[in-house]
Amino acid sequence: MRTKILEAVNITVIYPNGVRANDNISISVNEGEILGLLGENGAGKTTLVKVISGIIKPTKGEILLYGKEVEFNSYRDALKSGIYYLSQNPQLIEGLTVLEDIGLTLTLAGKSMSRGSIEQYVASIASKYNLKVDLKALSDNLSVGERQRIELIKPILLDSKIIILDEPTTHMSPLEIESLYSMLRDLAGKGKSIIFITHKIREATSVSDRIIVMRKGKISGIIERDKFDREVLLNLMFESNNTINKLGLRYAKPREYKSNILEVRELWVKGDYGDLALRGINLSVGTSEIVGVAGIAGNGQRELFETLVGLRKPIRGSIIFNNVDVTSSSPRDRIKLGLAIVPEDRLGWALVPGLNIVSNIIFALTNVDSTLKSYIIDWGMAWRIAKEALEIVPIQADSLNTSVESLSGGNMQRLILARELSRKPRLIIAMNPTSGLDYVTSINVKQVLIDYASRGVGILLISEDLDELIEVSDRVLVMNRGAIVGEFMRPYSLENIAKLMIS
Amino acid sequence: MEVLEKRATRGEIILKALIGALTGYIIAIILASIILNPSDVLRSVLWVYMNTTPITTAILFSIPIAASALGLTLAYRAKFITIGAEGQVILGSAVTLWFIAYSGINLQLPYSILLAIILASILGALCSLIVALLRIYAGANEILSSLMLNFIAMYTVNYLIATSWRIGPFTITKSIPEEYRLSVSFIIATLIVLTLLTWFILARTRFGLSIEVYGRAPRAAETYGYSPKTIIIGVSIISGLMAGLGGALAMLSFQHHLTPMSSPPGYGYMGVLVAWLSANNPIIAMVASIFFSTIVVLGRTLQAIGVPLSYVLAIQSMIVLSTLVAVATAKYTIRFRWFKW
Amino acid sequence: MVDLSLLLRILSNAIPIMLSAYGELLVERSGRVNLGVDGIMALGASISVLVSAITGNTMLGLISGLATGLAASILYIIPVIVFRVDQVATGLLLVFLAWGLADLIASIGYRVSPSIPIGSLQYNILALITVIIPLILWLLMYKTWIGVEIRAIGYNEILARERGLRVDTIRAIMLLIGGALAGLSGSYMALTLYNGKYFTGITGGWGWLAIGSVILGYWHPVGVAVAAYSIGLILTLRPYLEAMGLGPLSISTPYIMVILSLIIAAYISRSPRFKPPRIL
Repeated sequence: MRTKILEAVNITVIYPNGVRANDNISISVNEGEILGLLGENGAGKTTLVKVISGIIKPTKGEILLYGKEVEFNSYRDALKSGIYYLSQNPQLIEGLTVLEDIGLTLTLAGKSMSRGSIEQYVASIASKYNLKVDLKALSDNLSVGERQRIELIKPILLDSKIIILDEPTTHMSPLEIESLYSMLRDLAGKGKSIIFITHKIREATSVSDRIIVMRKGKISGIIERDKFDREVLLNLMFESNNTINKLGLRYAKPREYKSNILEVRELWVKGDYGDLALRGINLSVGTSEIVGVAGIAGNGQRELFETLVGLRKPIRGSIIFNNVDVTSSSPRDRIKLGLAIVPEDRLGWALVPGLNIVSNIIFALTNVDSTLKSYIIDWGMAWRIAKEALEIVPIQADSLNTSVESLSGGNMQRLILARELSRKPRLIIAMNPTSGLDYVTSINVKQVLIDYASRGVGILLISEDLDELIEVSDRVLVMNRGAIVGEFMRPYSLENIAKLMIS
Repeated sequence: MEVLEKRATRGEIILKALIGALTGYIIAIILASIILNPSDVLRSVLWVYMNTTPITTAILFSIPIAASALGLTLAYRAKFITIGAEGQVILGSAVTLWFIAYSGINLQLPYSILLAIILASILGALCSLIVALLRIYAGANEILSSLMLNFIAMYTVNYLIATSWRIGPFTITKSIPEEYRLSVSFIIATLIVLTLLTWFILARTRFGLSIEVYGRAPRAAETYGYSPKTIIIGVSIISGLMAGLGGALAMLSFQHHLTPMSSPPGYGYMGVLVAWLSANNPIIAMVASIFFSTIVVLGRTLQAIGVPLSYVLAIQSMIVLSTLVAVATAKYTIRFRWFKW
Repeated sequence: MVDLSLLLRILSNAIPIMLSAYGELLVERSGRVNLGVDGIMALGASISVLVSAITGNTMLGLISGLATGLAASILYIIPVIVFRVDQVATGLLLVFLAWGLADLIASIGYRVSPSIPIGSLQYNILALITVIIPLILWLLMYKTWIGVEIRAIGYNEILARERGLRVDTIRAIMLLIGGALAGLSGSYMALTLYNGKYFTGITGGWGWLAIGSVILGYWHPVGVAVAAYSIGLILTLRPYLEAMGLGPLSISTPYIMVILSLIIAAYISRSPRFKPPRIL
């Protein structure tokens, strides 16, 4: 008989823009159980656990701890009450040593210890659960894996009763994932409760005692371990069975590769901290080819993207684009030659907040297109150009004068694509193009990429979403620690690719 | 304490801004009244706003303020936060005085004035350029460096006034002869032209677009071919040029000579305040400049009953501060909770 | 052969800069910058002269200066911490506001009050405090968990908030301390350096030099102490430079020094080992 340790009652979270991230949700967490929280991107899982952790204040609803109502004014309150939240991409505060960072969390929870004690405890935890960390290192220089290990040590040090893990496996190898599962089972056995958030059914079923499925801000189902069924869970996650079948990707006829539109030879690039981010990268993208780059985030993908765009200069090697050596060319020159860019940060890199849709289209054209060359802007022509661009990939907006930040993520991405494609590019470099997008828009985006590939455009797709890469790419390269460690052709073996991602 | 963002309509923001500005103004007046005679203060206030002479004087005073502010709207939109307008105005007026009264260069009337104005503008632009170059090539933050340059400018001009420029036993300089002095109508025309010019640059030129893009999304700007160096150097030159211009016109229309400054005259700083108050909008900046110059006139009048001249900037600061706070209440909801330490 | 009296004279000039700089150091370490320091100093000077004159007690004058600084910092805390108004704007507005108020208050009655001569008890206490504070600050920032929290907030505000660090509370406290020190510094200037007088422009822009000291000292308590003392040195030597006929250049030396420290600090901050707090 399990005791209810935590209860969330009628939690509703409405954001200022009207979105209902959580709609009247009630869940309970039992002592010593691993609760899987399953749902696709944007279903509201993170919001819910942030409410439980005191990071977000719900518009309505209460939290009960051991049957008593509690009010969390900040994450600190939750920490003190024994709740720990591990976010998706954990960051440590730069400028501090790992020891200081850990000690800080302890102090906040009211359990400050001397530096010596911390060192002792961490050593014992590290050996028990296979979580090696260097306490003296500066927080800046850590790899994703190290950061994650540190974040996993903290709740154990704190002896937290409820540990919430938000998509913890995104940066983990299959081996590390197994380690994690056994650690979680061990903790659960000791009476700790775990909330495990994931969008992968496979993971949820592997480790949870119970699965709560969320969809569009509501709970769509609660399933016990003995009734786990992939079909059932899939149905609970998505609107209806049919949607998935209808929205398959349509592939064009087999494509011919004429020549290489992009060639990267022996590229060596320095990272932000003087380390080597890219070591001797060699890759090529042909016309009509979609080349996927897989890898755990933090292995040089960002630096690769920046170098190919021209925002970072390599120390060695060359980049040949459209038969022109662009290694030392500016981003502008590359765009003029036919490069299209779809970066990960939509607002702030691809789009300019505070400006309207028209401005956001033409600003990317004025310096590279001959039509808007004059010093004085002809806004009439600008509007016409914008409208033409939007015929390529339509978006939903009240008017072209609306400010771009009020658009949804999906519309922003469509806008970016429309704009980039209006320049009739020869190569598209995209990074995590479907991150944060709902299922339908993701399909939309992937379809656009496939269509353009069939028309002769080369596409370099850098993504953390392995499923997406496998769906869409003609070839998949694997990046690990700044180098290309493998190349795969169809048919893809997920396991083999994943193995190379972590070695 | 919790701070939550909320959607605010433009109308709400404008309304709150106006209420805030008025509140700040009233509080400042009340404070002055507490220290001195309330009825005197009130009478001065009414006099300033209801008679032509003070209004005309205010328009003259507004030119260094407006010229600085307009240039700064461009600089601030490019996120180049320079406070150097004060030094640039001072230098602009000083070099104008020098050229006309001391340099011995005598040209025909309109050309003399024109050349003086050009010299002042160039000097202001150079001054501003130094700040920009310090930021671009040395990574020095422009807020502090421009502030330091203001002091250097002020002390340098003070030195000149006290030594090579002084006439007679008192530290006072020669004056601009009558025929060189500019009229109110000329100033009004200049105000309008400068405002329209600034608006045009912002809304209708590629440079203006590049300012907006770079100021709001520097990564996007870098990617799509906008050179940060060009933009920063561009706005620094324009804002310095306009501030210097303002200084020249100030000297020619109302200053006429210089005396040593124990504290900065403030027109440049007022320009900075106006730019903030106007949310970097040129049209609003022009109106706000005139509003602020009426406060300068008010300050001069109140001087007679014992209010120090520095209180003018204090009044204006109170107005801007309460406006900014009022606008913030439109954008955020604040909830206070008793927090446990 | 080092002249002790010269060193003490430099110290007496350096004290106001050091005091304000220590306060600003705490503020900047927590991730904010208070540009209003110069104004708070002026206000502290004005009110401390007033109180000293009325009560005939300079100790009360010093304390009132400290209290004024405390109160003045609220004019920064409420807009910036509570209402999220831009800190640069608020800081500058505070300077102008405080300068004007200081002059306004002084216009009530200019009375030359008893002063705090160099060598008196109060002066010696102040001088001692000025030398001890950096040690206290060093212990606080590097040997206590609160210090770690303060530094963490300064390095990354967003993360700090997510982690539940007491960002606003700590910043408010740092600002209050900074304000108090600035007010104290101003009253010292009026009561000691200028023999109990207040006049327009009394701070001579020394508040800005204090802010410059924090940068020159690269945000380390001992560094800031040394930096502020050096600026005191330059200020003391200024009249000698003037006599040598360097003209406006001599007057400008401290300001040029601040600009130089901006450049040097920017250069140092490129190396990842020496991370400055994120202020702007």
